[in-house]
Amino acid sequence: MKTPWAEMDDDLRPYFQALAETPVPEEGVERGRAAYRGLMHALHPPSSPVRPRRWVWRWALAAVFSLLLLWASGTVVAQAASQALPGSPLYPLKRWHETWQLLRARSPQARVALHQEFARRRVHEMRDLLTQGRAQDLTPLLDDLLTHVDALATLAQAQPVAGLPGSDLTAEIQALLPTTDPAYRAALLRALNALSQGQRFTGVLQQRQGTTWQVDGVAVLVTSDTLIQGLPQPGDVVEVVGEPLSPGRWQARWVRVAARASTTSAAEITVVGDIEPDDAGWRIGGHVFTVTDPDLARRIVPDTLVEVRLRWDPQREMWVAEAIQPKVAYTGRVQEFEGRIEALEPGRVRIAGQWWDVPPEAKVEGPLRVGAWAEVEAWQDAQGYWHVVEVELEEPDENPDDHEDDRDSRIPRAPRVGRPTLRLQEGNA
Amino acid sequence: MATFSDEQHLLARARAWEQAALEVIYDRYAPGLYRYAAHLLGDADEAEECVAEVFARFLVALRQGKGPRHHLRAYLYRTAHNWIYDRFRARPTVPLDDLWPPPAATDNPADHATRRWRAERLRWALRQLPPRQALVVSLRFLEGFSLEEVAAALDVRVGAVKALQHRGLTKLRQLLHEVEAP
Repeated sequence: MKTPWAEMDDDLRPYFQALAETPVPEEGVERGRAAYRGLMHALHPPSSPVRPRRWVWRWALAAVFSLLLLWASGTVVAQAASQALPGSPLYPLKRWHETWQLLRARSPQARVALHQEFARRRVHEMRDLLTQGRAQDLTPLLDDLLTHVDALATLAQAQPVAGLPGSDLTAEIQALLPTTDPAYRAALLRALNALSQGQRFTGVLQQRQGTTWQVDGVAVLVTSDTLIQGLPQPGDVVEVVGEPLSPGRWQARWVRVAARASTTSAAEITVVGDIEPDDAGWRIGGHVFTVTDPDLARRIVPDTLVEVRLRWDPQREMWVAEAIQPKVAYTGRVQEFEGRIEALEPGRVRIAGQWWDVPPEAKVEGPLRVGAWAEVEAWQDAQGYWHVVEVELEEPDENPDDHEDDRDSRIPRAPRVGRPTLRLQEGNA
Repeated sequence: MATFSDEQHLLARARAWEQAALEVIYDRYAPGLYRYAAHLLGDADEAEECVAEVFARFLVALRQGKGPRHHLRAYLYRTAHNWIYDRFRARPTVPLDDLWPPPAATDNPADHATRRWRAERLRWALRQLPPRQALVVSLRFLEGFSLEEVAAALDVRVGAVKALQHRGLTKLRQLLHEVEAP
């Protein structure tokens, strides 16, 4: 690898060298190799890449399959084939019938239902084959299962469709996992992963505060990429499509009103996020709005972090900005460190040779005293200033030397940036 | 034993689902992709997830008769980069780098902290760039791609890569200087 340092100024080079020299553990590549091999064995060799894409081909194929089905005595045989397993003479007919049903499906909802049903059939067939000790015949079923769940994920991303994700299907695949060979497990896990892309739930919108909405006790993160349909108000039943981030927290890709709680005429919300131009005016946190006040409009700086108070205008049928306030950009750089308090002065404290301001707004747990062990939490804004959020003091140790050996390795010695004094802002980190 | 010194030849064998070729592709490109993802994400577990997903998408694409027909390395890095930026969008906060171990006894603690701080600042600044500028800058200066290879990854001309690189470095300089300015 030859890095073209000559094309870069001296001031940037140390940053790139530092990042390029960041140590990386090697075990991840080895663990990934096993999964890669498993998937490689589980997947079929590529078949003919020619797939019917245009509607004329779809209808032509549908016609052919229809004739074939008629020739095979139609529904009676298809019914008989529905219970067939791979290896049975009727099994190809079962699959043809499925293809024919998919080709005939016109609406996204119908296609979702069919893909779910056929994915479920594949899971049941796999379970039956495993019961019969025919694990070697699973590969084509896995192949088809992946095709169906990929189609489901694509449909979920294209537009909100009722009926996803099929949590029972997810549960059935999960139940199959322990019984399968590791070579096939990778493909099943990939199917589960694909299904999770379209997860959704429905609940009562309890609160809207900035980018976090409370829906049935779940904190739903609503960003500028979130599509918001209707005018969700507290009390409304909303449907949320997205991905769970952690227990009790979701990232929403799409939120829509499923049922109204009441006929609310006036609504006002406050949204925090990056303000972006939109065809209809401006956009923030998924809300498109207009600015009628020319003074307010002049002060807008696109792509900056702001807090906007919006009022719903029923005549225009859109949001109107009432107030716009710039916000300090949160870089996400949070620092937690601990050390012994070496000296105290009014409004500041020295820890590990560095003075930190502790104004009255800081959340200080325990009395500040020289020799006490302190845990400090601070975050850095886009300008590089540090904001102390919390200082927590531990009780004095019986043996104050206990922490001495830890200190150098536990306290980050990163160079100070920004102004030497610290501004305090509680609760933002 | 077959040799796969030529990427084009290797790709052709992989498209025929020759398992030796598929294994060589993983062995050849996974370590670099993993390192690249870990540096941008600052998280070894997420980097592992990224590499697994990149190769899973690659295999599925081959299985469907799709996937790259040339410039395999560029294809894999572009897929990884897309995954990483999707992750950035899904998780707007920047996690603390979990890659750096505590300084060794022989390290100068101040140097160690400075290098770690610089790495974190650059990682943060790269997240602020538009994805195409970030891809150009990171492939060029972290992975040592040539201009032609980056052009293949983006499917643009070399001139466009130069322009993206210039804009990306200018923006990075601005972001990093803003942070360092007293």
